Amino acid sequence: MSLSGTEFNIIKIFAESKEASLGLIADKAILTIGYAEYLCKYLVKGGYLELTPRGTYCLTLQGREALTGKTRQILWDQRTIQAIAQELAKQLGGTVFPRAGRKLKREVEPSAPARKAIMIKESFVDPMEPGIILKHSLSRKPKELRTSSVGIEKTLKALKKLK
Amino acid sequence: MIKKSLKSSKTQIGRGLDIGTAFIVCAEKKGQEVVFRSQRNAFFDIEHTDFTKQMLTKSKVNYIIQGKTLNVVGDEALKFANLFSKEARRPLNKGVISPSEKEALPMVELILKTVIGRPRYPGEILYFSIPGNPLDADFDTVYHKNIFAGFLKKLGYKPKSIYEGLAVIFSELADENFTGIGISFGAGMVNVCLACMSVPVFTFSVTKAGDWIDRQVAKALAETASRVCAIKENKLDLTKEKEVTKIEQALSIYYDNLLDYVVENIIAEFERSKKPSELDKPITIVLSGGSTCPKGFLERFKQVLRKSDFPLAVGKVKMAAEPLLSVAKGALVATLSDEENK
Repeated sequence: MSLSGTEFNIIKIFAESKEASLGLIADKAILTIGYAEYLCKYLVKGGYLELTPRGTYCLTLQGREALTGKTRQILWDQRTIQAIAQELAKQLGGTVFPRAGRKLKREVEPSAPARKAIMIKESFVDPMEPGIILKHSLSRKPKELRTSSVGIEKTLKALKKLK
Repeated sequence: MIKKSLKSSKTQIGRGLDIGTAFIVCAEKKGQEVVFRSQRNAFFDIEHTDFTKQMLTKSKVNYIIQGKTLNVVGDEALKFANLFSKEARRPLNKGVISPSEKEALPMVELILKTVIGRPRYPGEILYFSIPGNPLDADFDTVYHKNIFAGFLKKLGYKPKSIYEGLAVIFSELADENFTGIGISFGAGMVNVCLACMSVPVFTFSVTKAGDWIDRQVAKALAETASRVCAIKENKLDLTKEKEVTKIEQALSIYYDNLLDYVVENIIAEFERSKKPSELDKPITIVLSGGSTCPKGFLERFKQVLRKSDFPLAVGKVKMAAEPLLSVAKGALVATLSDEENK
């Protein structure tokens, strides 16, 4: 999940304070409370923020990494790596870590993996959830401005002549 | 049946649509009249309570309920934003669907529905404006175009797209044989098209436009962009020299900067493209869009053009008859012309 500019602005608020209420976030990021709440929920879902029992938000480890630009480091010791490699070797039927001087014996002949045909869907795919029905007060048509169509008819004639 | 009877009637009918960052405008030909309908493409969310709902209903303010929030839609969204010193939210940013406002898509669809209405018969052709590919941003308009085409198909139309700059030429340059440069100074983008006898030579957009001016001024003066926008739309006069407020002064500076930027990009794009021989005669430049509305805009543009090393002979620089409506009108011309050729 990559962060948009506004989302990152929210993350940056936590550089100054460990915790922040929704009101403070909305105020500092110049957002409405509703929009700030929407973005915070999105960031909680993405693992960047967490909601405290006090109802405020704070950064998670992932959020701190996004703020400082660091990536998580997995520190494994040599023995663990060796154990994983041996397990992999067993499953793949190959040899890992050959002794010095010995050539690596290829035991499994590589075969070209079967390629899946790529299906391109040409019809339009509606990205919205189906069945969203919003309640609204937009029953009235917007204000209308009426002009004569003489100009348009003249334009159409000129276009027709050109073609 | 309905289609047949409508097609056989002498008066042409049809609709054209301008999907802009700030406004959605529909132009509809009804007999001897062209009817324009527009709605501001902005909303402002407030807490949904029975009281606020009642208050908005009584004040005849348009709203859409989405879960726990009540979204004030249209011009009132800007008024509410200024009242709370916050920013109004825009479903479109820089001329295309905003990646951070995907949840607003159902609302845009609803606004679209109220502005254009249902088709007269299934499969009615409707041209809608799309921006040219931006020269200064790393995105294209494919997603935007397909989403809106999808909305229109869902309503029963047969959607077709037209570049915003070309729509301006269709609307305003009939007397010049549809040859010249059409520029639409919108909120999210400035769209440019150079056409020769209605055929585009090049078309492009830049993402510095009205909203960019608002943001820069707001940043420089610690204001909200919504407030700057309201001042820009209601009382900016670019010819004013005395008693100029700080906001007006900053707006004037950024208008100059924007015009320089647009003219520079036209020159650069012209150098990249092949020049048709028909363009040896002086051409007309037509300006349209909401950001051209301040008094003195045309003169400012002419000044910038004179200063520049413009590669084409320019005969006339003029404003569109109705700057806010010319894109929708151009899209309507495209629809009617297409219907005629069917």
